[in-house]
Amino acid sequence: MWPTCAAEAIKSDSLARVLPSGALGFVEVDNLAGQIQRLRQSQLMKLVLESPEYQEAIKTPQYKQGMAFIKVAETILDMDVWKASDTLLGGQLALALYPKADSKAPEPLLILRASEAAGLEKIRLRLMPFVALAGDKIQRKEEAGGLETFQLEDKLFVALKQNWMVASPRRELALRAVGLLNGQKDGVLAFEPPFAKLREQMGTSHFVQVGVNLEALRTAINARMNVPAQFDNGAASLLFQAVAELATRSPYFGATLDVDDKGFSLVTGLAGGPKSLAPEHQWYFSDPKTGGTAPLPAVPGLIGGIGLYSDFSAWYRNREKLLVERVQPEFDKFESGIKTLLPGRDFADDILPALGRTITLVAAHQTYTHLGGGEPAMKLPGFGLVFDLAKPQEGGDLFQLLFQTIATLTNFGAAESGNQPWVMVAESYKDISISLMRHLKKPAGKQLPVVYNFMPCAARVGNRFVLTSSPSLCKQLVDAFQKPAPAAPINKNLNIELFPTELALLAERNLDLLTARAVQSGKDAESSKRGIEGILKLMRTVDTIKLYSTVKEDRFQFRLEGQWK
Amino acid sequence: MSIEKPSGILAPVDWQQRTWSRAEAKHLLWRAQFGASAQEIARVHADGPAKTLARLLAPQPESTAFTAADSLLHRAAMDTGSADDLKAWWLHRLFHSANPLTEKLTLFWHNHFATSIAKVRSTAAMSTQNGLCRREALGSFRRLLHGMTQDGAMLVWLDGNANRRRHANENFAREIMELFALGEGNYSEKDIKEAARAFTGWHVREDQYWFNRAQHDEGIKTVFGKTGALGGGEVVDLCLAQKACPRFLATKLLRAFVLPQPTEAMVAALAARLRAHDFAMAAVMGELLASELFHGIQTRGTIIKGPAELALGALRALDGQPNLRTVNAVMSLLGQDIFQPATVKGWEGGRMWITSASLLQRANFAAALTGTNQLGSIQSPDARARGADTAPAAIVAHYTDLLLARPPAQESRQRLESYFADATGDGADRIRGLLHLIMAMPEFQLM
Repeated sequence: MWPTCAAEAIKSDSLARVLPSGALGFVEVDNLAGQIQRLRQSQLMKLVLESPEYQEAIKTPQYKQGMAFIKVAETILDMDVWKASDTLLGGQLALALYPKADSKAPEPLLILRASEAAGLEKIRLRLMPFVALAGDKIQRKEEAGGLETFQLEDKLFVALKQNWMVASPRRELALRAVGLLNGQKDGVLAFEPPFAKLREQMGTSHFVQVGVNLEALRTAINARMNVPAQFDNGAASLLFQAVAELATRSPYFGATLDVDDKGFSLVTGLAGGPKSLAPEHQWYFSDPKTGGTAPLPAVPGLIGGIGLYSDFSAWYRNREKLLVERVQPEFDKFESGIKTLLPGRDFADDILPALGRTITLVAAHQTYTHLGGGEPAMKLPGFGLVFDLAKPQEGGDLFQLLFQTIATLTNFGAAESGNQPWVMVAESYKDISISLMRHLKKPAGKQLPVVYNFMPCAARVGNRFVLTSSPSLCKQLVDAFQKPAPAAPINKNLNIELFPTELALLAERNLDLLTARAVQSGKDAESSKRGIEGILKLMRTVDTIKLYSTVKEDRFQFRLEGQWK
Repeated sequence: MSIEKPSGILAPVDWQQRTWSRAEAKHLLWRAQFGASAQEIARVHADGPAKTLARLLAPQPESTAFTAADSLLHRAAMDTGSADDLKAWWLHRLFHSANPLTEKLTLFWHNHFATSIAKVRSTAAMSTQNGLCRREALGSFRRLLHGMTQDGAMLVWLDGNANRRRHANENFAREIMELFALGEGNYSEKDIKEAARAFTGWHVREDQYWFNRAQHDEGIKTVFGKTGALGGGEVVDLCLAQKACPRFLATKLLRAFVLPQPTEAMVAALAARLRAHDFAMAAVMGELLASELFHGIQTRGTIIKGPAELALGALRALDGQPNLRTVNAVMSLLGQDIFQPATVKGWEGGRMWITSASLLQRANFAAALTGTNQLGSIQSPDARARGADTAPAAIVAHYTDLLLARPPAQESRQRLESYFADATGDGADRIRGLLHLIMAMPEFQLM
């Protein structure tokens, strides 16, 4: 029995309060019909319905079969499909999975609380003739307290009362839920410690909430849930190992989804902070008290970017603990390669200590004024890579050396392939010296090859080193970093932001090329163009999409948020 | 001066005396373009040989849809500089153009003047060369050969810039004589050395021909017995004047369009026509495709389909819409990577198309085309059968007639009928299975 005081923290009408304890996990949905209604009335749906793809889809036999099925269902229920949806899905719906003795497959339990009892009763009455037609296969009983039960052979047990319905293959499990619905207080899923923790840390009022009892999973599978102690892939280790390690200690995994008129928010979370991990795994997380990566630099025409805050140096130092022996020689090869680019410097001793903890990658529209009138026909964004430097002067020199070496090597390649070589020149912009590689010969003509999207630039701006593929972006980053620092760093390890309207603008500038790609796949030019324009319209309805992680002393969460117009 | 009509084996078929059948129409279309659909065969059968040949040989207006797609694809190839985009552009032309014989000859000349983008590295230069091949596909081989010696891609391909006054590079001159105009054994090493001097200073700058006067050897040279301060253009004319030149070309044309092993008499006859028409290709091809030799029964089903003929031909026969990128990938696996011939000699073709590996790939192609949409969509076979006789014998006859150059042997036909009668699944599945079997037959590899 779990302490009932926790019930105070739980939304009074949450179905988690009437789910029996012992589940491996659950999903709860609140007012799905309301969200369907919102979607039906949205601009997004209007665009989808107008799209050529949809107009094609409604001609397919599958679509016609689906519509016929809906008509049959509406006739049986004597109400239109949206009214039925309001009745059945306008309240709450919960599905929980319970371990089953002698079986790997869990047993489900479904609880539905309809928005109105009268509607559910109407549906029940319309379906009763089918129960009668089923004969002995369905045993119907009217039990005490107005409870009506149906037993479909030994496959499904259903209980109905007023505005709710419970269903499960296991009668005993369904009857436990019936008891809780009738006011019993003991054995409630929501009061079990992992789920109580989840609700405490992730909130209780959501459109969709998912909870997984990791303690129960660890008992069912193994203590580490098959997470290897050492990874065999460096990139996977950099991105996921510390989070996977946190999952092996967290009592729960949770996820919530909320949608309103302005956007959506999908949050996934684990309990536990960096201090709960062994020292070799703490490098990934920012300090909850002192912050993490900064917001993306505010440059004009920003299409998107990634900010990553981690102690990469600590990861590299701990690589023998974090990664299997088999991959260790790859680091030796990598260090040899780096020595070619940075002669006389050691990666672990010289380079990593000069790096700060934040690396930022941004993509933004670029201008082509430096090309003297022409523009590449295929327009790519400018890309910028920004390294925070722990030792600005030393780090700046190292990156400048790297830039010079790459320029030289690239020119060797250009000579072999007959491409234009680069000449490194320097330009001063707002007291910052920018090194840039310009093409030896200024291009002639208005429509230029794709290579003219690239004119690599490098500059040190305070304690940051900026590498970009375009001069305009380099100058914009200098502007952004010379402005007063924004408010305190946001406590995010990872911060990805995408601006679909800007991405749509980029796609629009390359519309012919995208259409050509569609034609290459066998479609005709006209319908391909219309299809792409439809997708661009959809993209323009979305303002921003963000994916970021937050670190607190006792929890770690990933958030995916979208805002639409 | 009027040119005498061809006689002997190249005499035109007298269609008053012979029946112009569906088989004749199919034979002409498979050789003059990349495959033929049932509707195309019916149209050509109805039009008759004279009207069809006139249409194949004269420039036809392209449709608005074709022009729009062609322009998009070409611009994409220029804008991205991607070889795959360039290949997709040409495949679109090979498949969809209203001038299929021109495209087929463009591929023939591409193979003749085999130049690879792997070395040239410029889609613009390769596209220009491709345009030259297309312009002269049914034009003049004389102009084509002259144009090729001043083509930017060709000059990169054969290291034109290395051909300098004091260090004449023989590569360019050797390939002109050996691969483009005369063939081995029809020139001496001295001819090559002297001709190389004539091409010195024929350089390339920014993908364009550039006459570098400072590097041109203006001294006296002797090529094929003619002495003087010869330049490159004069050497080309001397090559064209050699007896070996039309013979060399005739052999290649006969192998590509008529039969794999032409006799000496056939070569001599066609070489005479090339000379008579001063290498005007429309006239020569018109005579060849109208000739007794071309329409003789001994030529049917004798040429092994190249990958383009196999892949595009199957798609065309089945009214398909190719996925240009995946079809290009398949053709490359089968040994024909357009714009990227394997060697300076081009694709040898004929029996060399068939190896144990490529035969397996050809079977895989058939499976992918009939079982998936990876290579593009083919018209629903079920729809094709609708309204027609759906008895196994009729269905098998319809598809073997469409896809095979010659009727299958009785035993093979019975096997196909038996398969179709016993096959399970819906109508479309059964027909797709049947198509797979037909396309896996050795007979399908021939045209």
